[in-house]
Amino acid sequence: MSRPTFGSQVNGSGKSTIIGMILGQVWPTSGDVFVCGRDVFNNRREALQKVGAIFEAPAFYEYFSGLRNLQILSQYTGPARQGRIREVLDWVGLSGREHSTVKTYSHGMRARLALAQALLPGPELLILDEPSDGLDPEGIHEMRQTILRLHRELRLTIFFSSHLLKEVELICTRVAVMSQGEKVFEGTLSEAKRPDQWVRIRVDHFDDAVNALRKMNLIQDAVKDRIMPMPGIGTDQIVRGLVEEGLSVFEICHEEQTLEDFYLSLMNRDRKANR
Amino acid sequence: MFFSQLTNELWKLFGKKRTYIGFAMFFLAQNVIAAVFRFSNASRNMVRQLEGNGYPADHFISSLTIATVMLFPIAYILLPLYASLVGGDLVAKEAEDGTLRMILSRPISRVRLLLVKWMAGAIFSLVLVAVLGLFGLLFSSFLFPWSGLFAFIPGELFSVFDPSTGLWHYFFAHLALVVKAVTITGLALMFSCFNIKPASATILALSFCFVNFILLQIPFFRDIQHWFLTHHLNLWQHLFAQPIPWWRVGESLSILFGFNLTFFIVGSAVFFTVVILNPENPFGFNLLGFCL
Repeated sequence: MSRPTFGSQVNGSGKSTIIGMILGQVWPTSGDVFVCGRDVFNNRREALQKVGAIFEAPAFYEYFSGLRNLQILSQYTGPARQGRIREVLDWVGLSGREHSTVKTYSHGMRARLALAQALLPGPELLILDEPSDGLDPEGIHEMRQTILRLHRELRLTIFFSSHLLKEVELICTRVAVMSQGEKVFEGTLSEAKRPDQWVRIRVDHFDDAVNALRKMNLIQDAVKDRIMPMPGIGTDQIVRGLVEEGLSVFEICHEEQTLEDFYLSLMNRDRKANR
Repeated sequence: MFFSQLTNELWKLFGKKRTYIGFAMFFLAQNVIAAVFRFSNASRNMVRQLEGNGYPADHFISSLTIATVMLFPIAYILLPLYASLVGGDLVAKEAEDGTLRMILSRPISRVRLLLVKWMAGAIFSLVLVAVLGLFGLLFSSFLFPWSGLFAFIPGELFSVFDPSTGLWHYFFAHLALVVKAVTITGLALMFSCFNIKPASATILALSFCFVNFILLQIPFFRDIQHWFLTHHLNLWQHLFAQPIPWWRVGESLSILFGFNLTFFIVGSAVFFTVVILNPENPFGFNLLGFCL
């Protein structure tokens, strides 16, 4: 399985622009774009030979059948065998409807047809730009399951782009956050969702508990129902300290940061830096 | 591969209903013109010209002559209209519909894609003109006898031919009309690459032709008419001359070749740099994820 590699100096562009550059649709002002180890701008044919892509609101030739659309689109990579087209149609669950004109397709069927055209060249890398756009909750769920199945069964590397952070959280293993055309974070999902330094605590008298913990030099900060332990201090020491002071502890836990929290904190930091 | 991509373009082109508007209008216009000449005294001027020059009008008011007569308004107005309509659609319509982005995510180069589209446009032009010629002969033959050809442009052209020679002239004129249609399609295709609406590309191409034509009506520009596109686009008329001024035809053909090449190069240069995207949130915050 190949890993997508990209290295481009992006100036004031966003998600679609980056995907556009990966696919050789947008020229970078400087730098190079490599896909599967090949330069997209100098070796487009080889670089994109094993790449499939889906964009938000996938567009097709409405007056043709789904099958004809697949035949047409496959010719721009290389002619696909009839058997391969059948295989892909089966895979996305469009068999039986391939002869209907695309204008009769629902949003969900269009999304599946988009997936089928992306799978036709037998890609190693699949680029999905807002694939859930315009789908109802059921469609979003179905698309998510399909993407996970693609990864699981076909072992594809998937480059997924979305504003729906929950979807990213459920699908991706690595994330990159872009802000004003610059990558402000790249790492694994667990790195992004690392346990928060804040600890949520439920005691009978929060203020008394905070005072006691401060006296014992166990915490450095406290707000509402949360405390921030000193470096190296565990929740077991906090509980022990409070119990020894005669305070009741009903609940204590580290809060795992959601991707949304992480994203918002990054954006706030970015805004402050730009001020 | 190139052939299958060209077949693709032809599928797309001939799969659209609007591609057939031109054929339908030719059908309508030619039938109306043939009927008008048959059932009114519209042929009076032709009769006067023929008899004034000592030719028997009965022999030359024929299906071939009427097919040629109906060629003039159609070649001047309808043909440029439908050629530019299709040419303007070739890139701009796909960009507007979003299918161009799907195509450009594939490993085909833009120049190759444009070349395939240009060739599809050229084939459409060929079919359009072939239908124009065949329909003209067919519909006029319902109402007029098969006989000699009389071609007449006041002050420019007066030719009479026997049926077989006339048919050859008619055929060669249509070959030259194919060049005209291809050039206008190429012009519209060039504008179509400018990331504008398909209708705008069509209107720009038509405006270019019509402005050329209007300027040529001004005496000042007559002296430099060989610089104008429409002057050369009308080379098909010379194929009805007796004898055919081949040097003039050759000159126009070579200049039109230059025009076509220029349109293609300019179109390619623009198409090469144009950004085909539909950014939902330009300059905003975005999140990209990998599933490895």
